[in-house]
Amino acid sequence: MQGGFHLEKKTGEPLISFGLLTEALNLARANSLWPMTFGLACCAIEMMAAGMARFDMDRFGAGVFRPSPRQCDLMIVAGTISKKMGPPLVRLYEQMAAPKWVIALGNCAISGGPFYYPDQYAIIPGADLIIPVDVYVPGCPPRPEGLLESILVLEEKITKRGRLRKFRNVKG
Amino acid sequence: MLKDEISKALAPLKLERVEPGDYDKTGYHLEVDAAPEQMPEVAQALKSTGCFLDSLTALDFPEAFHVVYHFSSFRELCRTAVKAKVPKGKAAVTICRVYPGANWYEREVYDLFGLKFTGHPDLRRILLPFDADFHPLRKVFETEKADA
Repeated sequence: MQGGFHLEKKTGEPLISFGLLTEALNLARANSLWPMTFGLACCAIEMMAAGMARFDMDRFGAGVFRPSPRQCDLMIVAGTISKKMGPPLVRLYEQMAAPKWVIALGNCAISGGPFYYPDQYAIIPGADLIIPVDVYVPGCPPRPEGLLESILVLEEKITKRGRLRKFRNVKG
Repeated sequence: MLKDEISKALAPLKLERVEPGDYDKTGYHLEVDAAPEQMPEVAQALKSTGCFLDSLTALDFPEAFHVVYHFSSFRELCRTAVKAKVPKGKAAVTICRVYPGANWYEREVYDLFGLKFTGHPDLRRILLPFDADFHPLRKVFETEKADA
């Protein structure tokens, strides 16, 4: 654990499940993931590209970037997390209303990437050290297609069926 | 020429060195050495000629920190490099009363080199966490000792 940050245990799982209603709600949630307008480094450029017309994240309902964490349910950690940025990152995550999900975009957000070496003083090597992460997208930076796939994987995780299943021939 | 104007404005301060530089070689039209406590006046003189503060950084030498100020102008291409040698253990003098933009530059120098600026209104760390206890750009800095 890094200097004073605490890992939040809440993952947005409801205490009471309403069966079919929950499934319907999850279907709605998975197809309207609103990400936060929030980038830490160069991966944010790829995130912007993924949001624009060519790659068009809006096809999957995830193109509505919100400028406030209170309107978001998806945080895309796009870039290197410096030690100074760690506390604001946790704060933004905690300001989001549950249910909420996190994508770690790029090597820096996964493990510190090229900036990590033993006893370095500048960065937090991995978003999962301070907030719970749902999907990891490797790459330096990942292609916009990588981010699109991570959205689809997240849809799978939320609905437990998702769009990718039929392509991957996954039973479930 | 702006270069001559600046030299004239700096003349009453009786600085260590005010020399025209070889722009093709060094990139500076004017090279100035000043004592750290003269820096507010030097900055005032440069401001009176219409120059702006381009950058402010420091170099770590065994006997002293060299604080380097770069000034440029929008009117004509004229770059001035001012060097102030601050012996180890001494403090530099802030110029952020003259150039408010120097405020964060000086905080950065303090953050990374541990060099203090007397008269600075808000000398806190700027890039590293506030509770860090090291200054990474010092030559003596050893990463093993850092609180990683």
